[in-house]
Amino acid sequence: MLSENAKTQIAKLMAQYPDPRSAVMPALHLAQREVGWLPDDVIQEIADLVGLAKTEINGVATFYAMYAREQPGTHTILFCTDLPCALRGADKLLEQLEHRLGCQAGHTTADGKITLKEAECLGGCDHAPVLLIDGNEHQQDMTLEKLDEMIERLKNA
Amino acid sequence: MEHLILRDLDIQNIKNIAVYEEHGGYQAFRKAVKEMTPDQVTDAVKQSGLRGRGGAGFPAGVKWSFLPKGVFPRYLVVNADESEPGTFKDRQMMERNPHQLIEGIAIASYAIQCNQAFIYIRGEFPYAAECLEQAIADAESRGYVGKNIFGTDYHLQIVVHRGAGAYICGEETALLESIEGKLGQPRVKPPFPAAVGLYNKPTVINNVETLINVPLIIERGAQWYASLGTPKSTGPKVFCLSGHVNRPGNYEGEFGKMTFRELIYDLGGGIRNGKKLKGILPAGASGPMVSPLVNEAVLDVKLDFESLAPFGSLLGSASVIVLDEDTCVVWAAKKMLHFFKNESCGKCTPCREGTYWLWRLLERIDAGEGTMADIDLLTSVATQMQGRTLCPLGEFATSPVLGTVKLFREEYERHVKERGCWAKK
Ligand SMILES: Cc1cc2nc3c(=O)[nH]c(=O)nc-3n(C[C@H](O)[C@H](O)[C@H](O)COP(=O)(O)O)c2cc1C
Ligand code: SF4
Repeated sequence: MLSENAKTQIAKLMAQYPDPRSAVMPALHLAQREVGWLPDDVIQEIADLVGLAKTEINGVATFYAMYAREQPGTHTILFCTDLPCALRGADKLLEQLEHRLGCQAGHTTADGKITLKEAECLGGCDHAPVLLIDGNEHQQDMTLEKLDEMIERLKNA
Repeated sequence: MEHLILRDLDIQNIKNIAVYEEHGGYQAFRKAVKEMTPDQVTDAVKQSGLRGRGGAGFPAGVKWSFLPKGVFPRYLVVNADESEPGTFKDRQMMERNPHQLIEGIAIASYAIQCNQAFIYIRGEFPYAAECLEQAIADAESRGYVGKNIFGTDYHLQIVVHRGAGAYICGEETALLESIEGKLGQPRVKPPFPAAVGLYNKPTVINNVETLINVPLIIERGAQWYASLGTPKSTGPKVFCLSGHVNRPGNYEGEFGKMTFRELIYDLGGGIRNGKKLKGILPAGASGPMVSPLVNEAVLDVKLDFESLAPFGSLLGSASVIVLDEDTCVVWAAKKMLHFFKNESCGKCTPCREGTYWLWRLLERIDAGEGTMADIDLLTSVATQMQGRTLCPLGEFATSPVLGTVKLFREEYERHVKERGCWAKK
């Protein structure tokens, strides 16, 4: 369920655009930040607020890669494996990360703490390899040591 | 050299509005609104020769003048989707020199007489989005954005709209769909956005780097601007350099002055570990590879929108990815097709199916399970995709294949003969 505060913010977003439908993506972002992912009932709530069918909201939430329609771990790591990162060792580093976490990309660790996903170019190729934590924290010039520090921090956070 | 775009490299804290103002900030916008008519601003941009930096190089002033007369409201949409592998220039501008962009947006909005502008920024750039929102709020507090700007009856609101992970939303009509709250899938053109754009209203779409040039043109004049670069590609240009170089990063130069040799060896510090240079992707994954091993002259081409054509490639958004001699081109092509396969929006069959099959074939050849016939099949699938897709993504996706097969066919054949890859990755 969305908080009252979130609902007020969504109403404000709807007023910001010439067509309230434009608030769908910002509303999904907001809901995901609050709830951690986008379960069915939240999709329904947004549909009701924006005045669209649930299937339409679901379509948008499924089309864009950053929206989570399945419950992820406490933290999500997006790991870039595109060419610029791969040229600087991303594939090997991802293997090592999978090994450290004990789970493959596309899955969540057994303790439910970390979801690991492969990502397309994250726009930080001058500091490759790069990854993005929880949609808001870029980590760059990654090395095995930095990965270990990151895992330690996320496991305890 | 003085930076004109990456001014954060010369002036500390230029992202702070007071510092930006101390260095002449928002004076160009003042001049435009107080001393020029909207058409005069558009004419100045036309005369400057400014061409779009989003990849296609369309003249910005000409695009602005396409809007049908007397139809309102109209919109300016700023393309900050920056998702091409190897591109990270707009991000630096937004994070470190945001006011020059906001001023460019304001001037462009005035020129096309729009009162609401949207910045579509990819969802993976949360910090850049915050920097923009802060800059807009600061500009509003000084009266550069909002109501009655400079005491006139001109109003402007700027909205930051976050994407959510879809490369295709960089394509301008998919981007418009996305702002409208729909799936990011390209529209059929015509009608073009200039006539039927955002909310079916006349709309101009420009790249971040295009608009950040605009204050310079108004401040220093179209003639001065046109004196930079070449007659056909005017002004400064930011090159993104990544891959196997010692110093990856954004480097600003002028069109028609910078060569790959200068960019890669002087600015970029050369190839890592003293290796030889094998391939250059001038336009990220979206343009064909060039190779000094095949034709060394490519290193000394003066880079502008047209000059790579004789080498079978193009500059695009100048996202230059460098590959050293140890890199397997089959593997590199496979990586790029993996990207396109995932990012195809699925709307048309040749692209959806074609990207999948190209990727599968490359996987097979890379794994040592390919046949000689697979190499021909690769080029035949790619050739059949050309000209049959709704948007350019399907076309872009063929260039990693066609470019590398043309330059290094023997390497593909060697994968087949030796049943796998000899290169260490
Ligand atoms: C698949 C695809 C992705 C694109 N991505 C971007 C992008 O990230 N940024 C951008 O400015 N233009 C991108 N473009 C080009 C835009 O469609 C459009 O031409 C450009 O934003 C126009 O601005 P300009 O004239 O200022 O260059 C892309 C085009 C295609 C086909
Ligand atoms: S070419 Fe590809 S990305 Fe473009 S509309 Fe067709 S399926 Fe979508």
